[in-house]
Amino acid sequence: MQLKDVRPRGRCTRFALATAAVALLGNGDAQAGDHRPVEVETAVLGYSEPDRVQVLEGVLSAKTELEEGRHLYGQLAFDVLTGASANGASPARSVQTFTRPSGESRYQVAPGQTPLDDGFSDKRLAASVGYDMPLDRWTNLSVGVQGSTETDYLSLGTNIGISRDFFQRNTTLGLGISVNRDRVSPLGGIPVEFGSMPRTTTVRLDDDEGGGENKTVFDFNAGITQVLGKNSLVRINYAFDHASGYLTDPYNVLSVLAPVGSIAPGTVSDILHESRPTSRTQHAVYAELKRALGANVADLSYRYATNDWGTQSQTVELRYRQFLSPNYYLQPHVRYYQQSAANFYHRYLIEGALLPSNASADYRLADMTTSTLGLEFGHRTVSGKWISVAVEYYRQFSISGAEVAFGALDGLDLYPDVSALTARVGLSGEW
Amino acid sequence: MPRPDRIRWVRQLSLIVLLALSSWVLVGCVSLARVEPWERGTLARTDMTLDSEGVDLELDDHIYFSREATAGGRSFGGGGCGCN
Repeated sequence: MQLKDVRPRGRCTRFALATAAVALLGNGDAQAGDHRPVEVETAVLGYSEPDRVQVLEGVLSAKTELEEGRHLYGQLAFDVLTGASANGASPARSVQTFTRPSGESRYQVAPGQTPLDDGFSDKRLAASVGYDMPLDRWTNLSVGVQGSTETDYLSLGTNIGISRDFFQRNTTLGLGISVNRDRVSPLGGIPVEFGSMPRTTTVRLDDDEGGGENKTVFDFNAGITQVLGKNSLVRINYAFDHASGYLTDPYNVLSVLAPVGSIAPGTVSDILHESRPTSRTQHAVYAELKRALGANVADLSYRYATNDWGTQSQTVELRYRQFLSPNYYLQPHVRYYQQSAANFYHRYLIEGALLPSNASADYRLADMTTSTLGLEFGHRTVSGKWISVAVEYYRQFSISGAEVAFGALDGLDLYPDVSALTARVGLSGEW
Repeated sequence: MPRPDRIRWVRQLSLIVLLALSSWVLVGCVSLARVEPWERGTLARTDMTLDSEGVDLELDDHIYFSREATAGGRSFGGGGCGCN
């Protein structure tokens, strides 16, 4: 593709593909100075689904220049999760009793209600460190390691990326690879896939860790960032993701229902643990356009993703930063997402029918549409730091699957919408 | 909605979105003339940097990763979690 020739204004050529590889590669040139300032960015987010999951997350990120062109960056993050989470079972006309994943206690769900495990609770701590350096005037190399730990999950990984500028930095090509090795150690141990949920509680020995399974995730990312003009740039990424190992959710179950024609159709005859395939491959193409309109900035992106679990998805997202004055801005945010169901998604199983190879009733694998509507307010302080406050409304709706309510389930909502409110406070600047 | 109709709807929506995105780029697009270093004042602004507000984007992406069946594409890093 010839970009050396100056083309007449108004004539647009085709735009190139791919993107900068790793998010932590700086796009701009490092600013040298007599002292080395530390760029810090931090934010805390609260997420709340009424009567369901509550999450508090915080991230602290810092980046500094060690010497000309070489940067060191680090990040700490924490999550705290509490509340109730759907366990995958269907609602029923009578009280249902479920055994908690630990096996040590049970909980009840009222008639007609979507079964939620209200003992859902976890804490997560994550850390990452990265380093980037120039290989020559136009090429940058970055490496990093990351890890996170939760009560029932451990993840360790590494990443490497390279980017190269062309045509006086009007074009940047990037490639990156990331590998993560995870260990899933659920409370109560790894359940037998399609095994019946225990009907009685057990007492776990203190030294009984319950066992665990491994999971490996490999990511490859390639892309181009292209300056379109003095006020615009575009980036297009291709992302490949391959996960293998234990991909099942050890806490999710499916209801087995008596079939049509039986004495009590639609009533629960068993609760089984779910089973997912042991590998998943995903391809995604992501395009983002960033355009300055005077002092304001519009950011529009689109992503198409598909995986071999049968899911295809599309995401469209728009952020528009409107400056009210040089030190204040409002930024509305709109996101629209639609996905098709995984081919092993089943709202329930039918008693007596042939058991499929894999099955999950996790609604996050169903046909689903989500929308986000948010507003961020930003303020630059006297010292040049930016404070931002954002509120967003997130809704998951049009959740559906092939299975419908029948028999005893008639009139019950098998696919309820889920809504959430998020609030975020952020601070960024140089120290 | 039957599955084949849904797939067709997904493809039609993707075509519409791509056409809309392309139109916006083409209509507002300037030529791919090289932007010289001294002309990059606007592009050098923090809010014009891709992944500015990286922490905010990462927090958002983590929420979507734990609530939806597909994730990623913008960038990667940060490792896994048991939330999906």
